[in-house]
Amino acid sequence: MNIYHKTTQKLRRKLQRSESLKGYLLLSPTILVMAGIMLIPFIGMIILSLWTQIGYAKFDTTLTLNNFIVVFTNEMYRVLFSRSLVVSAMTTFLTVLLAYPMAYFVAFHVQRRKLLWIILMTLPFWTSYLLRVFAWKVILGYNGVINSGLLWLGIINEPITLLLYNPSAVIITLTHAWAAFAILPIYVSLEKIDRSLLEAATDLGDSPLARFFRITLPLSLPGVVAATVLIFIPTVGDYVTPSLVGGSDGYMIANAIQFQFGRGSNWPLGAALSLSSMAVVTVITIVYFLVSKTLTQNIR
Amino acid sequence: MDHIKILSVSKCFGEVIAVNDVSINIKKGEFFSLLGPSGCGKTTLLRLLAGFEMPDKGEIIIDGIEMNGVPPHQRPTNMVFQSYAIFPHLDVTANVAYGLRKSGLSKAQITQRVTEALELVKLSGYEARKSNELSGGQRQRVALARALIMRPKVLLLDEPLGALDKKLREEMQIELRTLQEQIGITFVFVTHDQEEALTMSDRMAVMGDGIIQQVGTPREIYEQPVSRTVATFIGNINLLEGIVLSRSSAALSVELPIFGKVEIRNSGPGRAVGETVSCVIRPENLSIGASPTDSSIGVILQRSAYFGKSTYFIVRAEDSSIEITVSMQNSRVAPQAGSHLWISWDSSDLVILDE
Ligand SMILES: Nc1ncnc2c1ncn2[C@@H]1O[C@H](COP(=O)(O)OP(=O)(O)OP(=O)(O)O)[C@@H](O)[C@H]1O
Ligand SMILES: [Mg+2]
Repeated sequence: MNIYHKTTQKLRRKLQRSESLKGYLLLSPTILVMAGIMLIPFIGMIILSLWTQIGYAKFDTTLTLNNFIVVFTNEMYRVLFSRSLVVSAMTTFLTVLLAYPMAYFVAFHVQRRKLLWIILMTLPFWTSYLLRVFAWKVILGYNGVINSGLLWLGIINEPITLLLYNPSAVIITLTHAWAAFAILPIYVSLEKIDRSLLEAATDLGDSPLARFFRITLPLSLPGVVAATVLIFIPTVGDYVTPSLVGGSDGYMIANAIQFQFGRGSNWPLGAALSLSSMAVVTVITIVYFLVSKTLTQNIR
Repeated sequence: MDHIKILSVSKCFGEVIAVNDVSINIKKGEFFSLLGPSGCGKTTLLRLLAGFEMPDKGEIIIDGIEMNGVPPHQRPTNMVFQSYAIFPHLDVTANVAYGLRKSGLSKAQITQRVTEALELVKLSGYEARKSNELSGGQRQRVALARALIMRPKVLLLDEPLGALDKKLREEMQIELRTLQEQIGITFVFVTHDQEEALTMSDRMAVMGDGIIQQVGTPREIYEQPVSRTVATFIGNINLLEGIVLSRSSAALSVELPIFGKVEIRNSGPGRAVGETVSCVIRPENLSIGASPTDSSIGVILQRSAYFGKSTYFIVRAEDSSIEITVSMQNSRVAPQAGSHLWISWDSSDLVILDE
């Protein structure tokens, strides 16, 4: 009884003193759930990627790196990887390019009801993702809006097939789909800029353009960096859009993963592909973060 | 020669008239303060000079050039902002050198100017710091150096000392004044601290509700306030209503409560006999003693307030409930409330307000 009392007292005192311990305790349900739905499947994936498929849902459980060797030597996967990265990078670039002026407009030129403007701008994104992808199919398709419009205007004699089922169709669709996610972080970082900084720059002789490049842009870079990461990571792994509007030329790495877990029926290879793409994205993101950090530090 | 001419300038924000028909002339090399309570339009007037706002009516002429329509980056003015507005992504050197990029100076010349500017504001050795690594006072110096390096004809300062503690503020007041005399450019200095305005300025303007109440030297403003607003805003003052008994060209004879019949120098507009006038006298122009002199009046002490270097005695006459305040320096005695005292004054310290 006495010992029990002493230990609980000791624990309580320790708890009162240590803020971080308290924090972890408060977080413990979250940590448990995260472990359950993230860590355990992740470890499962690692183990699976080291096995070999020998029949439907049957595996040779001797550990081997063969799957990774296939991933990194097979020409097809190399092409898919680089295409995914290029498509994703292009999407990210275009999205930010598109979102920046919109965010800038709301932050600096809208006086009242800014929230309403933001909601209106993100309104299209409240509809289903699939619906929006199909909408682009309707716009870019053989009998689509663009083709029939151009035919009616007499600019072309027969529908253009260049519009749909290629990587650029994927980029267009993804860019539109993710724009809302770029507007918000950029808007927040622009909104945060102290207006007197801009006035100070003008006072010190900057024209509006010079001021934008010397003050506004550097100070909004954190938002831009957040937006790029927010878009780059999920778009690399997207498989819905490429399978709907990408055609065989727009096939991306996630489609290959989906194939291996589905009709290809090679789960260990699929696991190795996803782990590899995860690693690649992580490395790219970290490098990007480091580079952008030094860049924002050294802007003059 | 008038360096800055503000000619009946008005500026409205919707319903609010922030600056209302203001006319001021500021001389070259003058330290000119704008003093007034919060929200009276000081910042707006300064921003009109800097070009961040354009006047609805009237015009501003700086150095003989009409400024309407001239954008801020083309005006011969620079501003020290209320919040300092130090660029957070740049270090002290880059902040101070910010405006020199298009000056056509070589890198070595720019470095030279930055070093000089930092020396001027006593901030050498802080070149590589970022704004979040500086104290409020240091930030204020960076803002000052950044503006001065542009060699403006007019430096506009918007409550630059407002965020500093009392001791640092008093140090900076002296430094700023010394600096201004050293470089000799025109300073337009906004403050809501009356002591600051009085100690620093060559001349000052008292504002209230967008209107200029009075322009003059600190001494004129302090000793000859023209209106109730100015009199009560600047320092502690006793305000008494009296009736004109008789008038001559030089003086008015006025019947005041407590003081009785007094002769006051007649400076303002003509006053008719029988008219009610407002008179003011500063607490420090009254003297107080425990025994009567030949011209003193007996009063009863209501309460006193100790301020260190001086003590305020709030007294009333035996036959009246009107209270007046008397201040006295270095008082050794601490009379009890209710005790009988005698006050005396010099009638030349009594001022009749214009309004
Ligand atoms: N951009 C603006 N839009 C609307 N009203 C404004 C704007 N700027 C100032 N005002 C109004 O104009 C009046 C004067 O403001 P100003 O900032 O010039 O006061 P101030 O004397 O500098 O006050 P403080 O000592 O508090 O800084 C205030 O009533 C203020 O609300
Ligand atoms: Mg102000």
